[in-house]
Amino acid sequence: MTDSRINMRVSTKNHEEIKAAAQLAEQDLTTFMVSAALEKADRLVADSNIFRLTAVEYLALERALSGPVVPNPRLRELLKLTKASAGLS
Amino acid sequence: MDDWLGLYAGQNEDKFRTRTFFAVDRDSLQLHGYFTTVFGEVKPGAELDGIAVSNYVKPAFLIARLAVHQKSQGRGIGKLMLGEALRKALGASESAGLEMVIVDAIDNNAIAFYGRFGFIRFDSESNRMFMTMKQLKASL
Repeated sequence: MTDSRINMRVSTKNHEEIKAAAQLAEQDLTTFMVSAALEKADRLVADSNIFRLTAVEYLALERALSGPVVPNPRLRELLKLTKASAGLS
Repeated sequence: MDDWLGLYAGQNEDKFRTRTFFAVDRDSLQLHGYFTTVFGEVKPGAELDGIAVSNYVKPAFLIARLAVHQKSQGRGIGKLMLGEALRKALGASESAGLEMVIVDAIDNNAIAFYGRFGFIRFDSESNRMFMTMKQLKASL
């Protein structure tokens, strides 16, 4: 259903380039532009829970994953606290 | 959770992309806080291209948002919700591989809060923190 409008101004140069690309894709200009934008939007949304780490971050993570485990008393207490409530929801 | 506090799952979130749980007073039905969970993954960024690091994508359980209503702060509700969220991570790791839990700390108080339970900052600048499943299971 196409029931809303997006108005935009583009430079002639951009317009020509997009029009040429749409022709290559054998799509009309609107279909081409909407599908390109949706593709990008989907990717951004999907990527919001993909974290790419810097070298420093990655090393910190690797160290923790391969290093010894240090049990945390507060964490232990917290998990005990929530264990008692199995009948939630 | 606590006797007086119930945890209710949201119904209709983002076509199952995320889940949100609400901490609600069992008697008054007042909303005290909520948290949102979603699976995510961690991988080395482009700056590590060509460097010998394990290129595995590491699966993570994200506590994407955890918030206590302003009026309900100081009553340990955040702590209870964190405990519930970690229980959910433990439950999920029974069904599929998970290497860590990740949280986004909103400010320095939140960083200190998560730090007390053993969450580690990805780096000194980062508000994003993690805890390995190994560590979590060791504290059961």
